[in-house]
Amino acid sequence: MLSHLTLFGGVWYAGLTPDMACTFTLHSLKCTVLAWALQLQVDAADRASQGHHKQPGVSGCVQKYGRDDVVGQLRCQSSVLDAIEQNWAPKIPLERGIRALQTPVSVRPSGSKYAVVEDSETESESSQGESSSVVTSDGEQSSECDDVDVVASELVEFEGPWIVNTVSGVGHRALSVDEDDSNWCLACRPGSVMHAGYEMRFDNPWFDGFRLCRHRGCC
Amino acid sequence: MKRTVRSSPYQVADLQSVASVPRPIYRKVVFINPFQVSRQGLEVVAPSSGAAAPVSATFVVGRGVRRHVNVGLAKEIGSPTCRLLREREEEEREQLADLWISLSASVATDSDILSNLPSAGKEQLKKLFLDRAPATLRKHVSGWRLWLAFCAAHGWQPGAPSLQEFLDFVTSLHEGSRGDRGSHRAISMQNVVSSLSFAAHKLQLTKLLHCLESPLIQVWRRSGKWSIQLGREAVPLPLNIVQRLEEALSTAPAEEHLLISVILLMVWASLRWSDAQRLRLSSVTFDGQHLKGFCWRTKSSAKGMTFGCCAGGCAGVGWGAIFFAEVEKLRSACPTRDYLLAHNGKPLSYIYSYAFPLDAVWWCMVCWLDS
Repeated sequence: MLSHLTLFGGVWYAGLTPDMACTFTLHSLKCTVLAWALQLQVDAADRASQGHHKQPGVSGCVQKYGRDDVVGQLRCQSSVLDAIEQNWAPKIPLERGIRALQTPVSVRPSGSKYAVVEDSETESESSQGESSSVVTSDGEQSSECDDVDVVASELVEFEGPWIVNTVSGVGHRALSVDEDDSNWCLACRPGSVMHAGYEMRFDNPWFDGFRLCRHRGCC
Repeated sequence: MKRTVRSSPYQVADLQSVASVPRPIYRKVVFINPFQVSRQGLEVVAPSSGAAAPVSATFVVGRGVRRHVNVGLAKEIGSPTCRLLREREEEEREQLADLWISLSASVATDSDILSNLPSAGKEQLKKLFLDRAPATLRKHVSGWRLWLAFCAAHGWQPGAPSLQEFLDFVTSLHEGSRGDRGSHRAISMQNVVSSLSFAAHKLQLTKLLHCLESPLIQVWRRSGKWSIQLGREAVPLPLNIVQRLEEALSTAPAEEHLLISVILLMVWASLRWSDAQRLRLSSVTFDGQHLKGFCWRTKSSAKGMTFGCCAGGCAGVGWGAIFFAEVEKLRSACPTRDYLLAHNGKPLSYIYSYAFPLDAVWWCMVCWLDS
């Protein structure tokens, strides 16, 4: 259930479309630094510590008698922060690394230490040492968008209309049944029976407080 | 178990004529989301019925406009009473154990435990279920109820089904999980069978356990592996989002510092929402560079875990110091407090968080990422 708290509002900030913003969930917070650390080839033990994961094949006594559970985590974060200071910008992998999210311009702090860096273009230049060889390639990220691809389909902006269930508060994408757009159905359940609580909206109902349907046909 | 679809009196082919059809009982959207956001004004209005609630969402979402998020955190700081989240969870566990005992009454004759302890009190039997987390107990209730209802409809013994009966149930579940849609969709077969395994193991329902261990049922449980698709996973945040959140701390009003810094804590310490919420405030330390603390229970560890993070962050704002200041405020009001965020004077629960408060978290991100 937690997997899709799709109310992230990147709509208002640089370049993210509503559908792209809905890509992020609350669990994105946990995986963020872990994904960055993998790209930097941070030691697996430190990454396990960062994610509070047990190291496979290592006895729990090793950790227990170390008497310090956070040192690996701090080392992992230090590696990431050091790389960021050197203008390294992480990729955002999608679909287990098959694709990468095309992120907007990464605005660095205005101090002299940082500069404005565009993630997708400066990767090879800014990455140093081992990190450059690990970061996944993003050469195909925007050229191929298969509509069978669940995550990729989320990145295609849907401009409406929507059908909302005013009883349950759920909004669905609307599909036209006829060529003249006189009859509409729910994208998730084209054959379903709609009661009078359904309404058609031409603006994204999320802005009116509706939840968006999580079915693949609707997102 | 297939459900028949009845035609609705409100069925219409053309949605434009919906207005002329008498409507069923209308439930306000605010029950789903306490905020109603009108796109034209981009103004967020708190529900009228919640006048007494400390939700004063008077912020306006839009570029260049003052934005403000208040989820009742500031009022909670001054609250004289402070009930521990751990106590609340214990209470919930007790309630769920009671529920399981009542649900197990229909299989008492088939249970090795219940049949051998006819005079055992409810308190004794409750211990059977008290070793599990409330979320686990809650998760399995629906599956077990489904099985009980199915058996009642067919006149079967839920504690001692025949293999053919159990196979019929599994087949029906499998069809339902694939065929039905929407809110009436049957729970997935694997989850229900897991619930039955849980109950059968706890109550020692020998015949049900025998059915579950049958190779025929095991095959059904693994039947989905050939159709598994690429899973939907949480996408990591881009770097600029994290940076903007950190920068927002320098411009946000004081009452929003806690909310923003909790988000950053979850990012940098790689914590789940439920982990961060179960932070023991008295354990939080800050040495100027590193922020450390102890979550007293997590999804993966009943004994809790420690965390540590670099407090400087990636934008040079020093979010850790701000978070620590907020924590100090909270624990000065209640030294034993064992949770971070509150709403209406109560710990923000995992389930309730879907309805409102985490909307505020995201709205907070909307607002401050835009600045």
